[in-house]
Amino acid sequence: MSESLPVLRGTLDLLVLKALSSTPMHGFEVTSWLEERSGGALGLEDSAIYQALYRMERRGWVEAEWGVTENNRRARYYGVTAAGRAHLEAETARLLRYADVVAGILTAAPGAA
Amino acid sequence: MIRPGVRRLFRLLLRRRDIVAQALEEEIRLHLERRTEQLVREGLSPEAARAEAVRRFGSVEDVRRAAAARERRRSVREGLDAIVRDARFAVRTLRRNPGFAAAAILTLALGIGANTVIFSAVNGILLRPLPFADPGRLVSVWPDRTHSKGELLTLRERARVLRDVAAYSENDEYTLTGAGAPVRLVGSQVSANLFDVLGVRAAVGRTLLPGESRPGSDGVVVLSHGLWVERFGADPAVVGRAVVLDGRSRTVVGVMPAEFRFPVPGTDVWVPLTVDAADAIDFWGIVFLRLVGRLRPGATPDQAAAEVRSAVPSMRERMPWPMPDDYGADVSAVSLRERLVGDVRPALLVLLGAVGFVLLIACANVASLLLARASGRQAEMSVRVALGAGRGRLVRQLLTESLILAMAGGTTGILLAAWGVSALATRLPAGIPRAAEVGMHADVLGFALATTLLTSLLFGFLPALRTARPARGTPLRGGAHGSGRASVHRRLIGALVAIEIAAAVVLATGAGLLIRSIRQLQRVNPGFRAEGVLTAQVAPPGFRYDSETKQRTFYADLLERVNALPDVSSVAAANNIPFDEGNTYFPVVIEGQPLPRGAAAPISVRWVVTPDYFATMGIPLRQGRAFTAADRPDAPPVVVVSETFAHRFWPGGDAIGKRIRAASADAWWTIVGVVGDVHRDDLTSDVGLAVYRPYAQHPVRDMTLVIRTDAAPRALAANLRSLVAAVDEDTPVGRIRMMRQVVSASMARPRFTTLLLTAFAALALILGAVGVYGVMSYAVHQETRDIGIRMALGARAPDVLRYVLRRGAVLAAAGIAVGLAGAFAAARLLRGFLFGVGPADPATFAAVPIVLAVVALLASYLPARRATRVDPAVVLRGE
Repeated sequence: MSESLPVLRGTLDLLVLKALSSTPMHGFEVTSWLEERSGGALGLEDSAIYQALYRMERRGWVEAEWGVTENNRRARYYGVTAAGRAHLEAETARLLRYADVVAGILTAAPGAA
Repeated sequence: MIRPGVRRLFRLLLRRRDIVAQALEEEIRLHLERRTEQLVREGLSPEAARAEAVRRFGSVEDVRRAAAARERRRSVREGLDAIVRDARFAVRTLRRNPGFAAAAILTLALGIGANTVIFSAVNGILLRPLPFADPGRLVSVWPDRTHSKGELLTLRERARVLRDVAAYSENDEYTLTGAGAPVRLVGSQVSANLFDVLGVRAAVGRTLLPGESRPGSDGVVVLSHGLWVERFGADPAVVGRAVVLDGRSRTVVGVMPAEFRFPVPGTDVWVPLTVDAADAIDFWGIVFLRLVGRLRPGATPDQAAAEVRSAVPSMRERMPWPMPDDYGADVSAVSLRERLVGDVRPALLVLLGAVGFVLLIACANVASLLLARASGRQAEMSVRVALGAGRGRLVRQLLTESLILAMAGGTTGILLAAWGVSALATRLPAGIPRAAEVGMHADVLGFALATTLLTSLLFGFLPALRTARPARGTPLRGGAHGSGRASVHRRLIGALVAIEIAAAVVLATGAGLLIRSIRQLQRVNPGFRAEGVLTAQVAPPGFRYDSETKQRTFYADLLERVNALPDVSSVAAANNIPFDEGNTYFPVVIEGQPLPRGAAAPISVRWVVTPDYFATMGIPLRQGRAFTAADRPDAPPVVVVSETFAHRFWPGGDAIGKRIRAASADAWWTIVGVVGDVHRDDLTSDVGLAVYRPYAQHPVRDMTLVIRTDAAPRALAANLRSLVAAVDEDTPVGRIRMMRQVVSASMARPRFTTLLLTAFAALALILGAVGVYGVMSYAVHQETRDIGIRMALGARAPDVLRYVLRRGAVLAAAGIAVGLAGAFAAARLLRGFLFGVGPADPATFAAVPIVLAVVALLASYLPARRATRVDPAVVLRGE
């Protein structure tokens, strides 16, 4: 974990939205989903996930609903709203282009420009 | 009432916060458990796994904060949603009942609109600051009389509390020639510091310089914006040009801004007041100036008055003649605004009060409509309570409905007012100060909005509380009749309608008193026969008619030509006519009747007239003779006096042959005739002393023609203009009016006040009638079953009619009784507006209740007749 990557707040929102975009999840499910996909490379406290969820709930990007887990525990399940989906798409496109451009510059042969 | 509701609200909030906190705990607990399980699976001991889970979670506090932020946003959003929901629901509810909504909106629109219109006048005339720099510090100095230049200069020398004092004359007239057709202008002679004292600058060029009050350097003039645009095409190059005023060339030095209307609206030119202390008569004897001063910061008008009072002894000392003992007794200083608009204030406040009553009636009307509807909504309310709505929730919903009604009424009212304000502004009687400032300003809109919000509470609150109180024990039952609750409602509605009737009685009484006053006023004999007399002002230019002989020839020629016109039976000229501005007054000395020391000389109006004046005006000769052609300049000086004059100085005796003179001159005039009294300024003023002098012996340059004629005024006016132009093309003819118009114009203000008050009373009556109609319809509707039973038991139509009408009569009687008491008090406030009628005028106080009773019975009659058509069979089967 010492080599973990810090995550910007806006980026974390996108990751969480991505996690929820296939199926509603509760907080721990989101956490494990992200750990799996990142291979544990992201430097996140678990509390950051909940802050992101509440923040996006406030903005109307996700909605929470009480549901029941597979072991019959009550849990808040979060789903993406239409506004959240639109945000995810737009921001993902923007972030990818940004990464492309930055990567293009950083990986160009020295002195080529 | 309120406490349990508040507690419930509080509990609700608490519960909400607990729920959120619990949810958060639960969510975190679940997370930690799952994480611990995961770590244990990975091989950690339960204790270590637990500790690691907590470590990985990080700050619970941050999560809590995020949750709190979410909750705040949610409660705001839910509040807004609730308002929108309430509003939508209210609109839907109102739409379902368009008749009710239309009646309520129209009623409110009339009330709010009328209030807005009157407020626009109050605001423009009384409230808005004068368009001068720091206007709160401007005071009118010693406003109860006019002043001489000597008094002005003495005051300026001693001004301390007053930073400075300036003077101006009111309603001077000038003839402008050499710039198109000759025209009469309204002007003002002003001290050069006037503009500085008021704190105004010229829009073009400059105002006056101190040196320009010296005789010889005073050949300058400042133009009004209106004159500049109208006569000089708004050409800035007019500054420096010469214009001819009364035959004298003056250089234009500046143009004032359009909003500068001082001392009276319509003032066209300001010329310097010349000061020559060597000319004692001019310096001390001609008393025509009004004084305005600017207070030093922190000084009060009372201090200014004290300062003026302290200057009185030195004025008295400097005057070349002894002044009466009471000279200086009337010194005061009042705010300039008070002086400019003070005499309109009472009328405006009365109208504002009246229109407030109209709004009160409108509110009572809508409130009673809402209450009547409340019974009809009992089922709805019961359902909503059953579904869990609290009383606060219902009250909020109902108040939203009221607010929406008020907003719709207010918007319509503002539209009505926009039309009404411009109608009012153009119809204000001439001479109302600051009339140009009456308009739909932002502050008027603000007033309309505030009124709208206030009315929504005023009419909505009681009905909302009543409606939201679901009847105990009758939830969801179909009908509402027969319950005790309906009768409480009916009593409340009855009270509201009685209030409406009472307010209508107050307004109708006020209007009645004013109408009676106007009629009394119209009955007053002005002292002359106004019918068939045309008047026109003629002003031969001074440069051509610079001697008395030339002026005499001009008028002799003109009168002769006018006399020769067809349809003219007689013509005369006078320096001024009754009921017009510009009467001249002078102190009289009676031969053989010396004044006690220190007493003021009697003041009389002086009219200069040609021989046929009395005959033309129809002023009766009581004694002696009128003037004749024999009263030539070289003949013995003669005078005709009024009846009151003769009676006052020779009570019971004979005035003919006695002699009088002006205090300022030595020549005695012999009284040759006594004529009937004439009202000088208007029909309400007393007749006072009057003296007539023959024109031949007392020449005046500007005269007013009076022509007795059968011709149509328009045709004669055209004839007259071309005739004067033929005699002298530089002589303007102005103010061509029928004498009847002149008299009627003197009543314009009281008539206008009466007209508005009558309109408001009519509005009150209509709204009151609608109110009575509404409540009686409601009562009949409520009692359909009772009435049906009565009819089934043998009551006939007339019995039912009588039964319903009696209830209307009881309401009306209660309202009228309360209203009469109110009217009795309110009429005292009207005392200053009454003429020939007491505030307790029996005729008015007898007529108003009758009118109100008739209106109330008529309004009850329709519902009563409907009641007689109730078919008992249908009603009873319906049960």
